[in-house]
Amino acid sequence: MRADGLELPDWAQIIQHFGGQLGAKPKDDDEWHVFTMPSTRMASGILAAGYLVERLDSKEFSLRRSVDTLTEGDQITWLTQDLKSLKHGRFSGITEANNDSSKRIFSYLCSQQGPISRDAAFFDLFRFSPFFGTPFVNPRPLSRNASFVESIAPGRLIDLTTQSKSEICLVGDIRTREDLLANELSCGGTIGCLDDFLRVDGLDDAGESPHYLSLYANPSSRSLTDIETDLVVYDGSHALRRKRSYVKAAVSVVFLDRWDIHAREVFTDFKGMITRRRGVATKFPSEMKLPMGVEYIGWVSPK
Amino acid sequence: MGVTEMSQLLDETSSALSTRNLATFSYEFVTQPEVERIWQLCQILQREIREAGGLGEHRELFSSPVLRARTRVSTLPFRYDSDEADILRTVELLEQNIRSLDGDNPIRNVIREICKSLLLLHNIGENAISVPLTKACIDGSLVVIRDSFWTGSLQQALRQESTFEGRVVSVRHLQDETPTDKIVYLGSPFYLASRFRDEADTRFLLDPKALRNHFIFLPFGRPPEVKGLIDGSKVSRTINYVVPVFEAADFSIEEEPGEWESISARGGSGKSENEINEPARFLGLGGGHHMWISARSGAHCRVLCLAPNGQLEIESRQTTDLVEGEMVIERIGGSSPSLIDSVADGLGARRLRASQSIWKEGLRHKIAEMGSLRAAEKILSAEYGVDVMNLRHWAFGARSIAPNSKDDFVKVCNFIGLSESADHLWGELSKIRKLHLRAGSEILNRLRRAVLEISTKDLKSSGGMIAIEIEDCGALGIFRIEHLGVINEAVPISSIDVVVQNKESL
Repeated sequence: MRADGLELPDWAQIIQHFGGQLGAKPKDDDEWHVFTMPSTRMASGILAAGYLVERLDSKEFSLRRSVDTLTEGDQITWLTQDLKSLKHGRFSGITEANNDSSKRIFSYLCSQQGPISRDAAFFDLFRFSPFFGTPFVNPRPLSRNASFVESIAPGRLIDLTTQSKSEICLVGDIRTREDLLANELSCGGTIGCLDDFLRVDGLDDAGESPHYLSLYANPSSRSLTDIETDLVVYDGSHALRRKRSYVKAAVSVVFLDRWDIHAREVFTDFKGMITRRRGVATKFPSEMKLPMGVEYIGWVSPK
Repeated sequence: MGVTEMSQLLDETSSALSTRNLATFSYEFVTQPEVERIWQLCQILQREIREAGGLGEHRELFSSPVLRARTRVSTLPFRYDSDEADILRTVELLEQNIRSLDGDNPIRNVIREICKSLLLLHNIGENAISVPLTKACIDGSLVVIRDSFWTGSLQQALRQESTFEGRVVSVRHLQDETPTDKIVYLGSPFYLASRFRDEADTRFLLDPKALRNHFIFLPFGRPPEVKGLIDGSKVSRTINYVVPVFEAADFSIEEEPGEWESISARGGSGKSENEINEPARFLGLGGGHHMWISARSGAHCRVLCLAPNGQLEIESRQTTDLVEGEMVIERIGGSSPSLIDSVADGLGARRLRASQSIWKEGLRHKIAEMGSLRAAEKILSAEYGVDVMNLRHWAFGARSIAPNSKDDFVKVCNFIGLSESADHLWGELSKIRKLHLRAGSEILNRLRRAVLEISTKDLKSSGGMIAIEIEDCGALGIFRIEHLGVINEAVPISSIDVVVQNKESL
């Protein structure tokens, strides 16, 4: 995965694999997973990437609703034929062609070009409203790095880029941002960063489609908005302490840097909270080997 | 953003993991009979003080200076006859202090014995730690000590006395270091882990920053317990060494304040009715300085930051958000600590200061005449209808120019007998106020120009302080924050935001 041609280091492969396991499991229970390490650089992003790769195989990602389910005014998006940009508009209606009753005409209001009609048979719609993330007005390029995304999840570019769901919330400080935007994550000869793949809202959105799959939350932000998501990754004690009460997720993963002076105290508080919720402690999956020097503890409690 | 290479970040974690997994620990015991005797005598002293009722006065007069001296000679490599070891002054102080005790008081005898040992050490001169330290240091070694107070002076001393080219850092600041080959620690793992009135901090043992970790210490301090965050986890570490001398003395280490704590404990005094005290936080600064920085709500200071483009830039930072290791810009010395005053004077406020003095002195004179501030407040409030909440600042605060309301100002002028010149004075003081506002942006421009000439390399090799000269601002220092006081204290306003050399306060 690395631009220098090397594989991810062992610890990162295990974290990625663990993320994949979380993505594949049904979300019947509330789960918490805590890792402590002497440095947590890149760990949260890599776990999230592993999770998302696995989630791409789920039905939700290939779901395409029929045009017949649309009602007037619904937001719609579709890919241009060259697969390089997204179009956006609002559904108007479906009518029969004047000269051919078997032909149906699909009408919509394109954000860029105004009212447009097309033969419905050739109209390939991908996703419909509501969007996850900030609603957009003007269509923008699909991704800065479509070929990179295609290479990390072959054949799933359209599913990945036109899907808009609250899959992952990444909570962390400036270092988490830096990890997610760090270049040279190489895949099949193309180079990108984790943000290209995770499609993170609130990170570096300029020039991106707003079809987000993840959300970045800065723990120092005073915003107290509640966030609902499938997986939340807290990168650091500050993230856990500040945002734990505002994020609701079936699966919570915490990365604590043991050099962080507050890590021990925050972990103790967190453990107390889990105990009060009657969480049952779990061990690291036996089929995987916990990287040496990394601590892990998990808890499960029924929803 | 986005310029960092991912491989570099991955390697950061890989390197931290492999360093902690492969780390080795070695222990070198230093022998110095007189220091060992001081440790034994300290135990006796503590016992005698306890038996005498554990008086705070005894602790302050005897225990504190003795423990301070003991720490210096036990954990630092300075010559015993050096200023840093401070033996002669300590002995003088102790001899003076024992005069307060009866002749047959056992504490007196112990202190005399301790003084004897200290003087013997002073005569020996050569520190027992210095030779093993020099031997242990290899090219670019990192030397770690407990008290950040000594990092600058120790680094300087080592460079002067040997071929040492490495750096000295405090164990509290190891967090910012990248993994390295070797670290030489001065002090036992127990001593380095202990924190004043706090839980031991064993992060440097749990996840060391070096493959080879060498401890040089006098044989005091049992091996500490090094646990991971999660109970029973495999990352816990066993530190193995056998202490050849007694262990009981370990316990007193924990309650021993560092140099910064000792200096800050001496600050924050001097209250009188007219003295304005404000909340301030203690900063131990690089280059042998310290200061009390205002901790009033909304108080800001300027810090030096590294911009994403790699250049240094100035940021305004709320003083409550400061962290150790940051570079803070402050004025060095001078009677007025206020840059605003100096620059505003340069912009034309100087010729208006006479009016400010007339008004402030008039007010102070009237307060003195009334007998107390409270009496003046009472009359101004009841008879003149002035909002007197800030009266103390108007009269005694150097930074206060005048009331914000002209109405209040005229009423106070009437009270102090300046009614005829009230309008003229108000005009002059308003001009000063405007010049102060202009000075704020002017200072920032001048500072930015000065900072552009500094490189990050200069900063790294500076030893924690760089002096810069700026028009109308006089000498300014860019200081690394070595120590940050934990709590805010009420400090006389005249002591706030004034950088003081550590020696001046000893």
